[in-house]
Amino acid sequence: MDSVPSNSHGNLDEQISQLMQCKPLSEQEVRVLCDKAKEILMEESNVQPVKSPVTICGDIHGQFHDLAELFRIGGKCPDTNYLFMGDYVDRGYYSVETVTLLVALKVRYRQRITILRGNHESRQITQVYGFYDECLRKYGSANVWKIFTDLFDYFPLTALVESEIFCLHGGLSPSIETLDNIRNFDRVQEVPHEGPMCDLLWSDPDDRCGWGISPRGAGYTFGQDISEQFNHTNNLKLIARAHQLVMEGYNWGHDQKVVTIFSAPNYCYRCGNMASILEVDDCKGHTFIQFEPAPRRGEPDVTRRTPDYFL
Amino acid sequence: MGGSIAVHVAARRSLSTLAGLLVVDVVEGTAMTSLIHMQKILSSRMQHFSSIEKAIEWSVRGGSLRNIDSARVSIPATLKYDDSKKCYLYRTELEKTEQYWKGWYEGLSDKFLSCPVPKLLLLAGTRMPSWMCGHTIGQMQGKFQMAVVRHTGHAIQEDVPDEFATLIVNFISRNQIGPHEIEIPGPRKPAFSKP
Repeated sequence: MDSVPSNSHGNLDEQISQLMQCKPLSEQEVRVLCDKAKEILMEESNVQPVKSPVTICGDIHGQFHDLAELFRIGGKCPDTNYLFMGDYVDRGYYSVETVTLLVALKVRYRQRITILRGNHESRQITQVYGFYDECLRKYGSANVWKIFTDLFDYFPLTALVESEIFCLHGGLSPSIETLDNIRNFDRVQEVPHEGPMCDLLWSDPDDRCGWGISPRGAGYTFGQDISEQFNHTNNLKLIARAHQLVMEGYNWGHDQKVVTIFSAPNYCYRCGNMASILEVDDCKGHTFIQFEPAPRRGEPDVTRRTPDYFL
Repeated sequence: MGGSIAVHVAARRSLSTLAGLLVVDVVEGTAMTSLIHMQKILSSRMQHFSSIEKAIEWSVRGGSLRNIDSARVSIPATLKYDDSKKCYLYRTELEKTEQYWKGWYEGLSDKFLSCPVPKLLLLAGTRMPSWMCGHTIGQMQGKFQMAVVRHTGHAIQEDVPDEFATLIVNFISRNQIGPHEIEIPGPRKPAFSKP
Protein backbone atom coordinates (compact mmCIF):
# COMPACT_ATOMS: atom_id res chain seq x y z
CA MET A 1 0.00 0.00 0.00
CA ASP A 2 1.49 3.26 -1.14
CA SER A 3 1.70 5.55 1.87
CA VAL A 4 1.09 8.61 -0.27
CA PRO A 5 -2.63 8.78 -1.03
CA SER A 6 -3.48 9.11 -4.71
CA ASN A 7 -6.33 11.55 -4.12
CA SER A 8 -4.47 14.04 -1.95
CA HIS A 9 -7.22 16.68 -1.85
CA GLY A 10 -9.90 14.20 -0.86
CA ASN A 11 -7.72 12.76 1.83
CA LEU A 12 -6.77 16.21 3.04
CA ASP A 13 -10.41 17.26 3.23
CA GLU A 14 -11.14 14.25 5.41
CA GLN A 15 -8.19 15.11 7.62
CA ILE A 16 -9.32 18.72 7.91
CA SER A 17 -12.82 17.57 8.87
CA GLN A 18 -11.33 15.32 11.51
CA LEU A 19 -9.10 18.10 12.82
CA MET A 20 -12.04 20.53 12.95
CA GLN A 21 -13.52 18.13 15.50
CA CYS A 22 -10.32 18.50 17.52
CA LYS A 23 -9.23 14.95 16.74
CA PRO A 24 -5.51 14.56 16.01
CA LEU A 25 -4.13 12.81 12.94
CA SER A 26 -2.03 9.68 13.22
CA GLU A 27 1.74 10.04 13.37
CA GLN A 28 2.10 8.77 9.81
CA GLU A 29 -0.52 11.21 8.53
CA VAL A 30 1.34 14.03 10.28
CA ARG A 31 4.58 12.94 8.64
CA VAL A 32 3.09 12.95 5.15
CA LEU A 33 1.32 16.25 5.74
CA CYS A 34 4.46 17.98 6.99
CA ASP A 35 6.51 16.68 4.06
CA LYS A 36 4.04 18.36 1.71
CA ALA A 37 4.00 21.50 3.82
CA LYS A 38 7.78 21.69 3.72
CA GLU A 39 7.75 21.59 -0.10
CA ILE A 40 5.29 24.49 -0.15
CA LEU A 41 6.92 26.59 2.55
CA MET A 42 10.45 26.32 1.20
CA GLU A 43 9.25 28.16 -1.90
CA GLU A 44 7.98 31.10 0.15
CA SER A 45 9.98 34.26 0.77
CA ASN A 46 11.28 35.51 4.10
CA VAL A 47 9.04 38.49 3.24
CA GLN A 48 6.07 36.63 1.82
CA PRO A 49 3.82 38.75 -0.42
CA VAL A 50 0.10 38.60 0.43
CA LYS A 51 -2.83 40.14 -1.44
CA SER A 52 -5.90 41.70 0.10
CA PRO A 53 -8.57 40.99 1.15
CA VAL A 54 -6.95 39.18 4.07
CA THR A 55 -7.69 38.67 7.76
CA ILE A 56 -4.63 39.07 9.98
CA CYS A 57 -4.43 37.02 13.20
CA GLY A 58 -2.19 36.99 16.25
CA ASP A 59 -1.19 34.36 18.82
CA ILE A 60 -3.32 31.22 19.21
CA HIS A 61 -1.21 29.21 21.68
CA GLY A 62 -2.95 25.88 21.40
CA GLN A 63 -6.42 27.21 22.22
CA PHE A 64 -8.07 25.13 19.53
CA HIS A 65 -11.69 25.88 20.38
CA ASP A 66 -10.93 29.58 20.30
CA LEU A 67 -9.35 29.10 16.87
CA ALA A 68 -12.60 27.44 15.79
CA GLU A 69 -14.45 30.46 17.19
CA LEU A 70 -12.11 32.71 15.17
CA PHE A 71 -13.07 30.85 11.98
CA ARG A 72 -16.75 31.13 12.89
CA ILE A 73 -16.40 34.87 13.27
CA GLY A 74 -13.89 35.64 10.54
CA GLY A 75 -15.20 33.12 8.05
CA LYS A 76 -14.02 29.69 6.97
CA CYS A 77 -10.81 29.18 5.05
CA PRO A 78 -10.74 29.29 1.98
CA ASP A 79 -13.79 31.59 1.79
CA THR A 80 -11.74 34.04 3.85
CA ASN A 81 -8.03 34.57 3.27
CA TYR A 82 -5.93 34.39 6.42
CA LEU A 83 -2.54 35.52 7.65
CA PHE A 84 -1.43 34.06 11.01
CA MET A 85 1.53 35.70 12.73
CA GLY A 86 2.88 32.75 14.68
CA ASP A 87 2.72 31.17 18.15
CA TYR A 88 0.32 28.33 17.32
CA VAL A 89 1.66 26.05 20.05
CA ASP A 90 2.48 25.98 23.78
CA ARG A 91 0.45 26.92 26.85
CA GLY A 92 -3.00 25.87 25.60
CA TYR A 93 -4.17 22.27 25.83
CA TYR A 94 -4.54 21.63 22.09
CA SER A 95 -1.33 22.71 20.42
CA VAL A 96 -1.24 19.48 18.41
CA GLU A 97 -4.69 19.94 16.89
CA THR A 98 -4.17 23.67 16.38
CA VAL A 99 -0.90 23.53 14.49
CA THR A 100 -1.91 20.43 12.54
CA LEU A 101 -5.09 22.14 11.34
CA LEU A 102 -3.27 25.30 10.26
CA VAL A 103 -0.61 23.29 8.42
CA ALA A 104 -3.31 21.16 6.76
CA LEU A 105 -5.16 24.29 5.64
CA LYS A 106 -1.86 25.64 4.30
CA VAL A 107 -1.30 22.50 2.25
CA ARG A 108 -4.90 22.42 1.02
CA TYR A 109 -5.30 26.15 0.24
CA ARG A 110 -1.74 27.40 -0.09
CA GLN A 111 -2.65 30.76 -1.67
CA ARG A 112 -5.39 31.52 0.83
CA ILE A 113 -3.57 31.12 4.10
CA THR A 114 -0.16 32.36 5.20
CA ILE A 115 1.42 31.01 8.37
CA LEU A 116 4.40 32.87 9.83
CA ARG A 117 6.84 31.74 12.50
CA GLY A 118 6.54 32.89 16.10
CA ASN A 119 9.14 32.66 18.85
CA HIS A 120 7.33 29.56 20.13
CA GLU A 121 7.85 27.72 16.83
CA SER A 122 11.19 26.56 18.19
CA ARG A 123 12.71 23.40 19.62
CA GLN A 124 13.98 25.06 22.75
CA ILE A 125 10.81 26.93 23.64
CA THR A 126 8.41 24.04 22.93
CA GLN A 127 10.35 21.75 25.26
CA VAL A 128 9.57 24.10 28.12
CA TYR A 129 6.13 25.54 27.45
CA GLY A 130 4.05 22.50 26.72
CA PHE A 131 4.06 21.36 23.07
CA TYR A 132 6.72 18.69 23.65
CA ASP A 133 4.87 17.25 26.65
CA GLU A 134 1.57 17.35 24.78
CA CYS A 135 3.06 15.40 21.85
CA LEU A 136 4.42 12.81 24.27
CA ARG A 137 1.03 12.51 25.91
CA LYS A 138 -0.98 12.24 22.70
CA TYR A 139 1.41 10.15 20.59
CA GLY A 140 3.49 8.22 23.12
CA SER A 141 6.78 9.48 21.71
CA ALA A 142 8.48 12.69 20.61
CA ASN A 143 8.40 11.83 16.89
CA VAL A 144 5.55 14.21 16.08
CA TRP A 145 7.23 16.97 18.08
CA LYS A 146 10.37 16.45 16.00
CA ILE A 147 8.41 16.42 12.74
CA PHE A 148 6.75 19.73 13.56
CA THR A 149 9.81 21.48 14.97
CA ASP A 150 11.76 20.54 11.84
CA LEU A 151 8.91 21.98 9.76
CA PHE A 152 8.86 25.20 11.80
CA ASP A 153 12.29 26.09 10.39
CA TYR A 154 10.62 26.54 6.99
CA PHE A 155 7.90 28.95 8.12
CA PRO A 156 8.33 32.43 6.60
CA LEU A 157 9.45 35.08 9.07
CA THR A 158 7.42 38.03 7.78
CA ALA A 159 4.73 38.92 5.26
CA LEU A 160 3.92 42.01 3.21
CA VAL A 161 0.26 42.76 2.49
CA GLU A 162 -0.25 44.75 -0.73
CA SER A 163 3.28 46.15 -0.31
CA GLU A 164 1.97 48.34 2.51
CA ILE A 165 1.38 46.34 5.68
CA PHE A 166 4.43 44.61 7.13
CA CYS A 167 3.43 41.62 9.24
CA LEU A 168 5.56 39.62 11.64
CA HIS A 169 5.40 38.00 15.05
CA GLY A 170 7.62 40.21 17.19
CA GLY A 171 9.16 43.41 15.89
CA LEU A 172 12.08 45.26 14.41
CA SER A 173 15.81 44.68 14.65
CA PRO A 174 18.72 47.12 14.84
CA SER A 175 20.40 44.84 12.27
CA ILE A 176 17.59 45.31 9.73
CA GLU A 177 16.97 48.54 7.81
CA THR A 178 15.30 47.28 4.64
CA LEU A 179 13.01 44.45 3.63
CA ASP A 180 15.81 43.21 1.37
CA ASN A 181 17.92 42.71 4.49
CA ILE A 182 15.28 40.21 5.60
CA ARG A 183 14.91 38.60 2.18
CA ASN A 184 18.60 37.84 2.03
CA PHE A 185 19.26 35.66 5.04
CA ASP A 186 18.82 31.92 5.50
CA ARG A 187 15.87 31.33 7.79
CA VAL A 188 15.98 27.54 7.83
CA GLN A 189 17.41 27.12 11.32
CA GLU A 190 16.45 26.97 14.96
CA VAL A 191 15.53 30.41 16.28
CA PRO A 192 18.88 31.84 17.42
CA HIS A 193 19.31 33.46 20.83
CA GLU A 194 20.25 36.79 19.29
CA GLY A 195 20.66 38.51 15.96
CA PRO A 196 18.21 39.74 13.31
CA MET A 197 16.17 36.55 13.01
CA CYS A 198 15.76 36.40 16.78
CA ASP A 199 14.75 40.06 16.89
CA LEU A 200 11.99 39.64 14.28
CA LEU A 201 10.37 37.01 16.51
CA TRP A 202 11.04 38.56 19.93
CA SER A 203 11.05 42.39 19.81
CA ASP A 204 8.31 44.66 21.16
CA PRO A 205 7.31 48.26 20.43
CA ASP A 206 7.82 50.71 23.28
CA ASP A 207 6.65 54.17 24.30
CA ARG A 208 10.25 55.23 24.81
CA CYS A 209 12.29 56.30 21.79
CA GLY A 210 15.21 54.44 20.31
CA TRP A 211 16.30 50.88 20.90
CA GLY A 212 16.05 49.32 24.35
CA ILE A 213 17.01 46.10 26.05
CA SER A 214 13.95 43.88 26.01
CA PRO A 215 12.76 42.79 29.47
CA ARG A 216 12.01 39.42 27.88
CA GLY A 217 15.67 38.51 27.62
CA ALA A 218 15.67 38.34 23.81
CA GLY A 219 15.02 40.87 21.06
CA TYR A 220 14.82 44.63 21.57
CA THR A 221 12.26 47.27 22.35
CA PHE A 222 11.86 49.94 19.67
CA GLY A 223 10.37 53.41 19.84
CA GLN A 224 8.25 55.45 17.46
CA ASP A 225 11.30 57.05 15.88
CA ILE A 226 12.54 53.60 14.90
CA SER A 227 9.27 52.39 13.40
CA GLU A 228 8.76 55.69 11.56
CA GLN A 229 12.18 55.39 9.99
CA PHE A 230 11.59 51.75 9.06
CA ASN A 231 8.17 52.49 7.57
CA HIS A 232 9.54 55.45 5.62
CA THR A 233 12.57 53.58 4.29
CA ASN A 234 10.40 50.69 3.09
CA ASN A 235 7.33 52.65 1.91
CA LEU A 236 5.12 50.99 4.50
CA LYS A 237 1.90 52.26 6.01
CA LEU A 238 1.59 49.88 8.94
CA ILE A 239 3.45 47.28 10.96
CA ALA A 240 1.12 44.57 12.27
CA ARG A 241 2.51 42.23 14.88
CA ALA A 242 1.46 39.87 17.65
CA HIS A 243 3.58 38.50 20.54
CA GLN A 244 2.08 40.65 23.32
CA LEU A 245 -1.07 39.99 25.28
CA VAL A 246 -3.31 43.04 24.96
CA MET A 247 -6.51 43.04 26.98
CA GLU A 248 -8.75 44.37 24.19
CA GLY A 249 -7.32 41.97 21.60
CA TYR A 250 -5.61 44.76 19.69
CA ASN A 251 -3.65 47.84 20.60
CA TRP A 252 -2.45 50.74 18.48
CA GLY A 253 0.96 52.26 19.02
CA HIS A 254 3.35 54.74 17.47
CA ASP A 255 0.65 57.11 16.19
CA GLN A 256 -1.30 54.25 14.57
CA LYS A 257 1.68 52.99 12.60
CA VAL A 258 2.20 49.85 14.71
CA VAL A 259 -0.59 47.56 15.86
CA THR A 260 -0.49 44.55 18.17
CA ILE A 261 -3.02 41.79 17.47
CA PHE A 262 -3.64 38.98 19.96
CA SER A 263 -6.02 36.18 19.01
CA ALA A 264 -6.12 33.92 22.09
CA PRO A 265 -9.11 35.03 24.19
CA ASN A 266 -8.97 34.44 27.96
CA TYR A 267 -5.33 33.56 27.41
CA CYS A 268 -4.17 30.47 29.29
CA TYR A 269 -7.81 30.05 30.32
CA ARG A 270 -7.33 32.68 33.00
CA CYS A 271 -6.26 36.11 31.73
CA GLY A 272 -9.74 37.42 30.95
CA ASN A 273 -8.66 39.23 27.77
CA MET A 274 -10.55 39.77 24.52
CA ALA A 275 -9.09 38.47 21.28
CA SER A 276 -9.06 40.18 17.95
CA ILE A 277 -8.40 39.75 14.24
CA LEU A 278 -7.81 42.48 11.65
CA GLU A 279 -9.75 42.42 8.39
CA VAL A 280 -8.07 44.21 5.52
CA ASP A 281 -10.53 44.57 2.65
CA ASP A 282 -9.64 44.91 -1.01
CA CYS A 283 -9.92 48.69 -0.73
CA LYS A 284 -7.36 48.44 2.08
CA GLY A 285 -9.86 49.40 4.75
CA HIS A 286 -9.11 48.07 8.24
CA THR A 287 -11.66 46.51 10.58
CA PHE A 288 -10.88 44.92 13.92
CA ILE A 289 -13.18 42.13 15.02
CA GLN A 290 -13.04 41.31 18.69
CA PHE A 291 -14.22 38.02 20.12
CA GLU A 292 -14.67 36.18 23.39
CA PRO A 293 -13.55 32.65 24.25
CA ALA A 294 -15.51 29.74 22.85
CA PRO A 295 -17.88 28.15 25.35
CA ARG A 296 -15.85 25.96 27.63
CA ARG A 297 -16.16 22.23 27.52
CA GLY A 298 -14.54 19.98 30.07
CA GLU A 299 -10.83 20.74 29.99
CA PRO A 300 -8.52 17.76 29.75
CA ASP A 301 -7.03 16.44 32.94
CA VAL A 302 -3.51 17.75 33.12
CA THR A 303 -1.75 16.45 36.19
CA ARG A 304 -0.93 19.11 38.73
CA ARG A 305 1.39 17.92 41.43
CA THR A 306 1.25 19.39 44.88
CA PRO A 307 4.23 21.73 44.75
CA ASP A 308 7.12 20.60 46.92
CA TYR A 309 7.24 24.09 48.20
CA PHE A 310 9.23 25.33 51.16
CA LEU A 311 8.90 28.67 52.79
CA MET B 1 10.28 33.35 51.68
CA GLY B 2 13.47 34.96 50.43
CA GLY B 3 11.83 35.75 47.11
CA SER B 4 8.99 37.50 48.89
CA ILE B 5 11.42 39.61 50.92
CA ALA B 6 13.33 40.58 47.79
CA VAL B 7 10.17 41.62 45.97
CA HIS B 8 8.82 43.63 48.90
CA VAL B 9 12.11 45.47 49.33
CA ALA B 10 12.41 46.17 45.60
CA ALA B 11 8.81 47.37 45.38
CA ARG B 12 9.44 49.94 48.11
CA ARG B 13 12.05 51.54 45.87
CA SER B 14 14.09 52.42 48.91
CA LEU B 15 17.34 50.96 47.54
CA SER B 16 18.78 53.55 45.17
CA THR B 17 21.47 51.14 44.06
CA LEU B 18 19.07 48.33 43.13
CA ALA B 19 20.02 47.16 39.63
CA GLY B 20 17.97 44.04 39.05
CA LEU B 21 15.57 41.57 40.64
CA LEU B 22 15.95 37.81 40.36
CA VAL B 23 13.34 35.59 42.00
CA VAL B 24 13.89 31.85 42.37
CA ASP B 25 10.77 29.72 42.00
CA VAL B 26 8.40 31.94 43.96
CA VAL B 27 5.12 32.93 42.35
CA GLU B 28 2.03 34.21 44.14
CA GLY B 29 -0.35 31.74 42.53
CA THR B 30 1.51 28.54 43.35
CA ALA B 31 2.61 29.89 46.72
CA MET B 32 -0.95 30.62 47.79
CA THR B 33 -2.21 27.23 46.62
CA SER B 34 0.71 25.57 48.39
CA LEU B 35 -0.01 27.11 51.77
CA ILE B 36 -2.82 24.71 52.63
CA HIS B 37 -0.38 21.83 52.17
CA MET B 38 2.50 23.43 54.00
CA GLN B 39 1.86 22.22 57.55
CA LYS B 40 1.55 18.66 56.27
CA ILE B 41 4.78 19.02 54.32
CA LEU B 42 6.58 20.46 57.32
CA SER B 43 5.33 17.76 59.68
CA SER B 44 6.39 15.04 57.25
CA ARG B 45 10.00 16.19 57.39
CA MET B 46 12.41 14.21 59.51
CA GLN B 47 12.69 16.22 62.71
CA HIS B 48 15.71 14.81 64.57
CA PHE B 49 19.23 14.02 63.40
CA SER B 50 22.01 12.29 65.30
CA SER B 51 24.60 14.19 63.29
CA ILE B 52 24.87 16.98 60.76
CA GLU B 53 25.93 14.45 58.16
CA LYS B 54 22.68 12.54 58.75
CA ALA B 55 20.70 15.72 58.17
CA ILE B 56 22.61 16.40 54.97
CA GLU B 57 21.99 12.85 53.83
CA TRP B 58 18.28 13.12 54.53
CA SER B 59 17.93 16.46 52.74
CA VAL B 60 19.04 14.79 49.52
CA ARG B 61 17.65 11.29 49.98
CA GLY B 62 14.26 12.15 51.43
CA GLY B 63 14.05 15.92 51.39
CA SER B 64 13.84 18.49 48.66
CA LEU B 65 17.47 18.97 47.64
CA ARG B 66 19.23 17.08 44.86
CA ASN B 67 22.85 18.12 45.11
CA ILE B 68 24.85 16.60 47.96
CA ASP B 69 27.74 19.03 47.53
CA SER B 70 25.43 22.00 47.86
CA ALA B 71 23.57 20.45 50.77
CA ARG B 72 26.86 20.08 52.67
CA VAL B 73 27.18 23.86 52.47
CA SER B 74 23.60 24.92 53.13
CA ILE B 75 22.21 22.40 55.61
CA PRO B 76 24.54 22.93 58.62
CA ALA B 77 23.38 26.53 59.07
CA THR B 78 19.76 25.40 59.34
CA LEU B 79 20.45 23.18 62.37
CA LYS B 80 21.15 23.63 66.05
CA TYR B 81 22.22 21.09 68.66
CA ASP B 82 19.74 20.35 71.44
CA ASP B 83 21.64 19.47 74.60
CA SER B 84 18.70 17.89 76.37
CA LYS B 85 17.60 15.72 73.45
CA LYS B 86 21.20 15.06 72.38
CA CYS B 87 20.45 15.55 68.71
CA TYR B 88 20.27 18.17 65.96
CA LEU B 89 17.02 20.04 65.30
CA TYR B 90 15.96 22.71 62.82
CA ARG B 91 17.03 26.12 63.99
CA THR B 92 13.84 27.80 62.76
CA GLU B 93 10.45 26.42 63.73
CA LEU B 94 8.67 27.19 60.48
CA GLU B 95 5.38 25.79 61.79
CA LYS B 96 5.10 28.69 64.21
CA THR B 97 5.27 31.28 61.43
CA GLU B 98 2.01 30.16 59.82
CA GLN B 99 0.13 33.34 60.73
CA TYR B 100 2.45 35.33 58.47
CA TRP B 101 2.54 33.06 55.42
CA LYS B 102 -0.39 34.58 53.61
CA GLY B 103 0.97 38.09 54.06
CA TRP B 104 4.24 37.09 52.43
CA TYR B 105 2.62 36.05 49.16
CA GLU B 106 -0.61 37.99 48.77
CA GLY B 107 -0.20 40.65 46.09
CA LEU B 108 3.27 39.41 45.24
CA SER B 109 2.62 39.31 41.49
CA ASP B 110 1.61 42.95 41.29
CA LYS B 111 4.54 43.97 43.45
CA PHE B 112 6.93 41.98 41.29
CA LEU B 113 5.64 43.55 38.09
CA SER B 114 5.72 47.04 39.59
CA CYS B 115 9.48 46.90 40.22
CA PRO B 116 11.15 49.24 37.73
CA VAL B 117 14.43 47.31 37.41
CA PRO B 118 15.11 44.41 35.03
CA LYS B 119 13.49 41.25 36.36
CA LEU B 120 14.26 37.56 35.97
CA LEU B 121 11.95 34.84 37.26
CA LEU B 122 13.39 31.34 37.47
CA LEU B 123 10.98 28.43 37.68
CA ALA B 124 11.74 24.81 38.45
CA GLY B 125 10.93 22.65 35.47
CA THR B 126 9.78 19.68 37.51
CA ARG B 127 6.45 21.33 38.11
CA MET B 128 3.86 20.15 35.67
CA PRO B 129 2.88 22.21 33.88
CA SER B 130 5.54 24.69 34.87
CA TRP B 131 4.56 27.36 32.38
CA MET B 132 1.22 27.79 34.10
CA CYS B 133 2.93 28.92 37.27
CA GLY B 134 4.21 32.28 36.09
CA HIS B 135 2.84 35.78 36.10
CA THR B 136 1.10 34.95 32.84
CA ILE B 137 -0.20 38.36 31.86
CA GLY B 138 3.01 40.16 32.74
CA GLN B 139 5.16 37.68 30.90
CA MET B 140 3.08 37.80 27.73
CA GLN B 141 3.15 41.57 27.85
CA GLY B 142 6.93 41.34 27.77
CA LYS B 143 7.52 42.83 31.21
CA PHE B 144 10.12 40.41 32.53
CA GLN B 145 12.31 37.50 31.58
CA MET B 146 11.34 34.00 32.61
CA ALA B 147 13.55 30.95 32.49
CA VAL B 148 12.36 27.45 33.26
CA VAL B 149 15.19 25.34 34.57
CA ARG B 150 14.64 21.66 33.93
CA HIS B 151 15.83 18.77 36.08
CA THR B 152 15.79 20.75 39.29
CA GLY B 153 13.63 21.07 42.36
CA HIS B 154 12.56 24.23 44.12
CA ALA B 155 16.07 25.14 45.28
CA ILE B 156 17.43 25.84 41.81
CA GLN B 157 20.55 27.57 43.11
CA GLU B 158 21.45 24.41 45.03
CA ASP B 159 20.45 21.71 42.60
CA VAL B 160 22.08 23.14 39.48
CA PRO B 161 24.53 25.83 40.65
CA ASP B 162 26.50 26.06 37.40
CA GLU B 163 23.42 26.60 35.28
CA PHE B 164 22.10 29.03 37.86
CA ALA B 165 25.33 31.03 37.78
CA THR B 166 25.26 31.15 33.98
CA LEU B 167 21.72 32.53 34.02
CA ILE B 168 22.76 35.26 36.45
CA VAL B 169 25.87 36.22 34.52
CA ASN B 170 23.88 36.40 31.28
CA PHE B 171 21.20 38.50 32.98
CA ILE B 172 23.81 40.93 34.33
CA SER B 173 25.55 41.15 30.98
CA ARG B 174 22.42 41.57 28.87
CA ASN B 175 21.04 44.31 31.09
CA GLN B 176 24.42 46.05 31.24
CA ILE B 177 24.46 46.02 35.02
CA GLY B 178 27.69 47.14 36.59
CA PRO B 179 30.11 50.05 36.36
CA HIS B 180 30.30 51.78 33.00
CA GLU B 181 33.30 51.09 30.78
CA ILE B 182 34.10 47.95 32.72
CA GLU B 183 33.58 44.62 31.01
CA ILE B 184 31.97 42.10 33.31
CA PRO B 185 33.96 38.90 32.91
CA GLY B 186 32.15 35.63 32.38
CA PRO B 187 33.08 32.42 34.17
CA ARG B 188 36.71 31.62 33.45
CA LYS B 189 39.53 29.58 34.83
CA PRO B 190 41.55 31.13 37.66
CA ALA B 191 44.53 33.20 36.56
CA PHE B 192 46.92 31.31 38.80
CA SER B 193 47.02 27.55 38.72
CA LYS B 194 47.91 25.57 41.77
CA PRO B 195 51.29 23.86 41.77
